[in-house]
Amino acid sequence: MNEKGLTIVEMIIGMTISVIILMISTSMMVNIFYKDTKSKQSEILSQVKNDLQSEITVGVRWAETLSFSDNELVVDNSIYRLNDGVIEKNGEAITPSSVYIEEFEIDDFSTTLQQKSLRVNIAMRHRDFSSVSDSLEVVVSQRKMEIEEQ
Amino acid sequence: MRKSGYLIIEILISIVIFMTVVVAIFSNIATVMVRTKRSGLTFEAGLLLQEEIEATYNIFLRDWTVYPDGEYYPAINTSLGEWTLLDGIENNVRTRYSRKVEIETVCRRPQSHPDSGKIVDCIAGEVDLNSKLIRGVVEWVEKGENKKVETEILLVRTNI
Repeated sequence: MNEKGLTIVEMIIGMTISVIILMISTSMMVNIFYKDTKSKQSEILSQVKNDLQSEITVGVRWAETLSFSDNELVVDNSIYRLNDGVIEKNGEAITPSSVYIEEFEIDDFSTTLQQKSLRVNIAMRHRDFSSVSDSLEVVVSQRKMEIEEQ
Repeated sequence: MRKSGYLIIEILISIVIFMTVVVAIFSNIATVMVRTKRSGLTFEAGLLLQEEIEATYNIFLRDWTVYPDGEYYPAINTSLGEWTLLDGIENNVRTRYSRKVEIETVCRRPQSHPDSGKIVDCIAGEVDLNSKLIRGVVEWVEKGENKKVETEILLVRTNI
């Protein structure tokens, strides 16, 4: 007689296969979502690097007056300052709150007193994913604006 | 009599469909990650290029006649705390890049010529002692492929 239902062996084999498939698929999905999230956080840092690079380059290059101190850069009337992990321009944040700026360091390697050549180092990490970090090192020289008489 | 449940072929087909979907999603994300890394490398090369051009510009504001035509790379003179140019090509910059600054004499059409002042080959023009052509080049290898970013800047001396 052909009985309906499953034997215990069939059930165990079925459950084992199901568990294996579930484990593999779960680990793959977790891996995918983790990499996707990490990729998105890296993308945010890249965007911040792009923004800061163009902001600092244009500002310093065409500045008439330039000065700096610890965590602060003054370009004409604009004051860039590192405050609580965020870079502010005249008191307004120009980096997103999700990015923690760890370092905002400026060195002067100018060969002349009149036109400065600065190297700006900025180290950053994601606030929620501290393993996602990046850094920016941008060198920019102040342009000579006045043309001297020959 | 037809039994209830799945055939092995049905299970295999469902696994194949599931794996295809997973692989499609994964390859999509992998492509995005590779592109992000590539654009990151190009951005980094751009920063190195900017550094050599900006440093050279600042050096030439003071040292117009010090560096003859040739290949150089920027470095920091640690005793003076200022930029300097060293001879040759700099290799293994951040383990990946090589870079150089080429300094070239500029020649222009003479004043007697209708196109006076136009930059031309030195055979057809006169050397302009107050102009220099600076070419910055950064090269690197990415997955066996040679990559390069370069730019030029024309410097004109005004404080003679």
